[in-house]
Amino acid sequence: MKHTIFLGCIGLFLLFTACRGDKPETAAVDVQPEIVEVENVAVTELATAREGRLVLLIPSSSVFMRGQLEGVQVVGDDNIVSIRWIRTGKVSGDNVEVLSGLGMGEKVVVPYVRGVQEGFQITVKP
Amino acid sequence: MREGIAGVLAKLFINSKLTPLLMVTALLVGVLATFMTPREEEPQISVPLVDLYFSYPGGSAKEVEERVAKPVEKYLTEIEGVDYVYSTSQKDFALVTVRYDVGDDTEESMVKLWATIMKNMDKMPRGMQFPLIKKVTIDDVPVLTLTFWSQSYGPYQLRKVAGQVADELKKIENIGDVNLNGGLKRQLRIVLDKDRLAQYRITPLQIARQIKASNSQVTAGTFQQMNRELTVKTGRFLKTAEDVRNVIVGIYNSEPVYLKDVAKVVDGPEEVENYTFFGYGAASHDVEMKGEYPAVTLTVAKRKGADATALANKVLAKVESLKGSVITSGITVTETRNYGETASEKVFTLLEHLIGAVVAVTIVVGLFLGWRGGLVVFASVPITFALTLLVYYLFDYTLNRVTLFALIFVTGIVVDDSIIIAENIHRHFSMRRMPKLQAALAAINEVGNPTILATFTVIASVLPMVFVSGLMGPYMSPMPIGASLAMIFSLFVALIGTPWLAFRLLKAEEGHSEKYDIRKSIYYKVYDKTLAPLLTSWWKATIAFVFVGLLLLGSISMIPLKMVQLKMLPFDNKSEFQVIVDMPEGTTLEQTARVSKDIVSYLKTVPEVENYQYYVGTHAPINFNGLVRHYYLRQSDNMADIQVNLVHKGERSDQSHDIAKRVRPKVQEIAAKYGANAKVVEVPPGPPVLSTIVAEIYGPDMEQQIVLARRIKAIMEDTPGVVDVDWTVEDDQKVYTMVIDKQKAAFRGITTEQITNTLRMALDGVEVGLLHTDTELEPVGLELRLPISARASILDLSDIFVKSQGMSSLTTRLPAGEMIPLSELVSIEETIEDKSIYRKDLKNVVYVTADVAGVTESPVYAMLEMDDRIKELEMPGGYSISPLYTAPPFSEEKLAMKWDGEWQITFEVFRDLGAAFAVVLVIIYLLIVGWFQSFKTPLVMMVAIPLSLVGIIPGHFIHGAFFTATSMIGMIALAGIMVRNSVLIIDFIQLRVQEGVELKEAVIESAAVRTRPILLTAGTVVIGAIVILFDPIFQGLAISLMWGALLSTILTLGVVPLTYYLVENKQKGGRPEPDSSSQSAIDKRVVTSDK
Repeated sequence: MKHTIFLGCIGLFLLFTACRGDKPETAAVDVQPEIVEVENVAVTELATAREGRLVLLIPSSSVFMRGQLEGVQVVGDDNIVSIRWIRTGKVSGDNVEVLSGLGMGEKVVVPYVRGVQEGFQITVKP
Repeated sequence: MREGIAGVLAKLFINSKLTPLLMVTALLVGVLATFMTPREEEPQISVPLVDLYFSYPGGSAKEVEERVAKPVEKYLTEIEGVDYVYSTSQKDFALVTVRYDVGDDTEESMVKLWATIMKNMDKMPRGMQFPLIKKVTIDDVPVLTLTFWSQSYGPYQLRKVAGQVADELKKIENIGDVNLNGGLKRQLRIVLDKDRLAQYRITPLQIARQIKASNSQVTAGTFQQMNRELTVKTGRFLKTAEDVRNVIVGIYNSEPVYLKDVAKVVDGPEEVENYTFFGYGAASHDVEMKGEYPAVTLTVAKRKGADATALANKVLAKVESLKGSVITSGITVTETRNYGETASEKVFTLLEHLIGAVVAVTIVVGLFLGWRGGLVVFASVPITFALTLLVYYLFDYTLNRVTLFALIFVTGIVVDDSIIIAENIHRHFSMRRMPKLQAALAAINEVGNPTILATFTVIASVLPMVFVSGLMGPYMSPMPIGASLAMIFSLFVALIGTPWLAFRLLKAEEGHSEKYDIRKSIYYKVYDKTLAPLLTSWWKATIAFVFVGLLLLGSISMIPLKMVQLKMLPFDNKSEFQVIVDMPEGTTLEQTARVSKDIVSYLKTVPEVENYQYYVGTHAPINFNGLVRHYYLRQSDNMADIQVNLVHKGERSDQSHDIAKRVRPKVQEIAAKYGANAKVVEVPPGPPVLSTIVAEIYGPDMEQQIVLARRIKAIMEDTPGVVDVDWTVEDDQKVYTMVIDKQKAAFRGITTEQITNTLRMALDGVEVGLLHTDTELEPVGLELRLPISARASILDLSDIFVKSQGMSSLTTRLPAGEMIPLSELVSIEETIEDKSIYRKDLKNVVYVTADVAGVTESPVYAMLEMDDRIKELEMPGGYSISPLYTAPPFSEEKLAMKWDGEWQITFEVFRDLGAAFAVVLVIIYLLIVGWFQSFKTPLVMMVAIPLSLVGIIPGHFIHGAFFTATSMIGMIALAGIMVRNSVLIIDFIQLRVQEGVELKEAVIESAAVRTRPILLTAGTVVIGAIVILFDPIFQGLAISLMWGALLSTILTLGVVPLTYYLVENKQKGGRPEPDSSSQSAIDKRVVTSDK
């Protein structure tokens, strides 16, 4: 009798070997973006500074401070906002020079809107 | 009746009142030891790794290499015990890393290193600064990291708060290094105004000198007056920003010029030099917090030998108590790493496994011997482990995954001694030939001595693993030591405790009225049917042998056929991984931040991600892997680390390795968009290396090396399964060299030093002293620098002024004080920055690194695949490269390549384990020769050893698992177990033959008698192993033990008696005297036991 139990044990153990575990895939949740209306969207401009070098300018009002960090709200092609940290240089008139963090032809929200978070969709006021 | 040590011991203790007391004491002491032994995750590995930082200002990379790195390397290799010397030479700077033999004493190594460096300091070039020597140890790795983040505060305030908390935490005992990552420090910034400077005719250098001069305070001395001594102090430190503003920096038109007139003094955060953010991932329960928040991470390391869990709990309690006072509302503290908890969890999972294994084993034994028998065996395990844990505690071992692994590993084996004894007592009780006490003693005498021998064969099989060298050594050594100790204790428990318990608990089965007879048992019948025909007919025996031989060959051939792949260690299921982002050299901090952010916004959508932190321009809290890879030096603008924490492994179905594999393509796709190199770095299960695959390229000159490296890199990128390809050759970085017109400078009375210092001050900023505040925890530096808007182009720099030193410069007779713009003295040239020069063991080397994931998980196969393609490469000299595997090339005349990385460790481990296995075989042979006094019998017994492969290799194939180092350990241990089984069978055959039974009958009978205990012990090994089958690291061991024990037991039970019969029978046929050697052995034993 006992031997059948032992053989049963071996059978059980063979069963164990069969379990290799199939993993169910968890699907990412699709979030509907929130829509915010903004005043305007400005494209970064290329300008020539007095020394004859090229500089990238954006409106000063688009730069917000987060603690000690300077940021802008960049608008992507799909009108989705992302926050970008930048470093600014000289101020000239209403514009400020961007030293790093932004490329040519990128769009920023002007003036920046408080509370706009990454992933929000924007529409420009008509 | 022969009576050995076993019998004597049993007789002494079977009725002693001391026995139960001893058992209870052992248990209590063990429980105490379990709680007192410190717990931690990684084993205590002493890898004396020392970093030496040499600063040689002004030297080009080549010059630094020749003047500093090369001579230092030479001196260092003279030191005894130095294993490797690596160096990296860059412009102005060299880093030399020394690695001693693993396990060397850290303090002693440091002393030797200091002595050598000091001895040769006089030979070092002038201008080289005294080296910074830093010891790197495993205890530098933080065990706990807390991330402070906030919606409303910036990095400056966060760092202040975190700094306060850090200060409080330092008061906790056993705490090690407490550090802050990220955030902005307080700094007094003196922002120079170029135009004002020019207007007041003041130079930056002058300001620096004036600030330094006015920031002093000394005790001038004392004087006596009216029997009292009074101390005089002079000068006053700069204590506030106002003090600094009012420093007089010069005189203009007989009016003093204050610093505030020419510069803006800002007391506050330093200029942004890192971006550190925290955010929640998709798996987070906090749905409100979707954005990312400025963060500062506080890291806590522990002192050597301290309990990580206890420390982490204390720190967390302290932080909790600081909430509301120091940590104001609006700041959230999230635990982003807690090795204390993971260590504790690991320890408890392993303890659970242990208990599970013990219970399972008890049930199996219970099925065979009844619940009383099960109880006897059950009681013996905790006592054995209690004693082993006590020894761990006494030897200063910590409870970590390796030491506990040793215990799990032996669970199935330590019960065996007790099982064999209990089973035999049970059998003798059932035979009812003698009264109970005599029966018990007879039973012990019968199997006691072979059990002792068998225990020693198992110990002999695991103990040589102590000699595994290299980085893997410390991972391995607790295993043989723990296992051997446990075996010895289990033997004592089996000889002292088990008889006592068995004598009281086991009962002769009342149900059976007839006497127990082996001939009526099912085992005997089976053997009579199967084994007996083989014994009589030689051709049937031959067929059986051929069949077994084919099985063996078939199993072994699965390895070259790649049905079973070799790998050092599989990945553990961790709850974190990192993404290391490298942008091309010369990328700005903001651009790096942007790329990291892009990667992160993908990572946060991965369903298993709990939270993430990214550190741009600074490094993430390091782990053991980062320690060896020098990730703590990653502080440039073009580097970022992303730390990804996953949800607890109980809440996800995928293992961390699978998740890493899943996210890698997407991460790299994003990185490639920006020309960045992103690597997904997992925590390696074993010792960390530079990278899984490392190709070291040696050659006569760097250009050729780079050319070859580029081609090998292309091959790697092309090979499926090889990912994260990178190399140590930096991208070309544009630098402006300001060439000083020496003649003009000399004529105007200006020194080169003045110009370089001024430029450095303007661009990089110079710390000219400290603000002496009483309240600040971190030192507040006074930094002199141009505002960022005035150093945005190279043209900005040229209108900075320096002041002529006039006659005091000794080169001119013009009056001093003239303001000369830099643009007059320098011309600007654009060049390419020097590339870092890497050296390893005094040879120049270029590294190409990669990882494996996906198609091939084991680097060896990827390497073999690439080998063929590398061999096809045409070299300029018309020769071909054949990659080296074990040692670097003998000469650097020709280009050569060597594989390193995980391979090096794999090679060392399998080499050492192989050697250990050979030693094991010799020791086992010696032991059995000593016991049976025959040269042939041991060989018969060892026939069983290779049979375990029949189970092990197909077992790995069935599970789709890798044959890993733990599999190898299982195989070695099985050798001991298999020999023990043979010993038990053959010893009994000899006993029967001696009693006058005919050989053939004796063989069948003893096989039948021994089947039950052997199956039982094999069963416990199998059951004990099932518990760890689902642990990613120990899977290999579990498979080896399960399948190996199962199949080789079945085969052993047939093959060993058969072989023994054939050998003995042949001898008998050849000579009239029946096996004289073994006969005399028995006689000898009879004589000794009669004494």
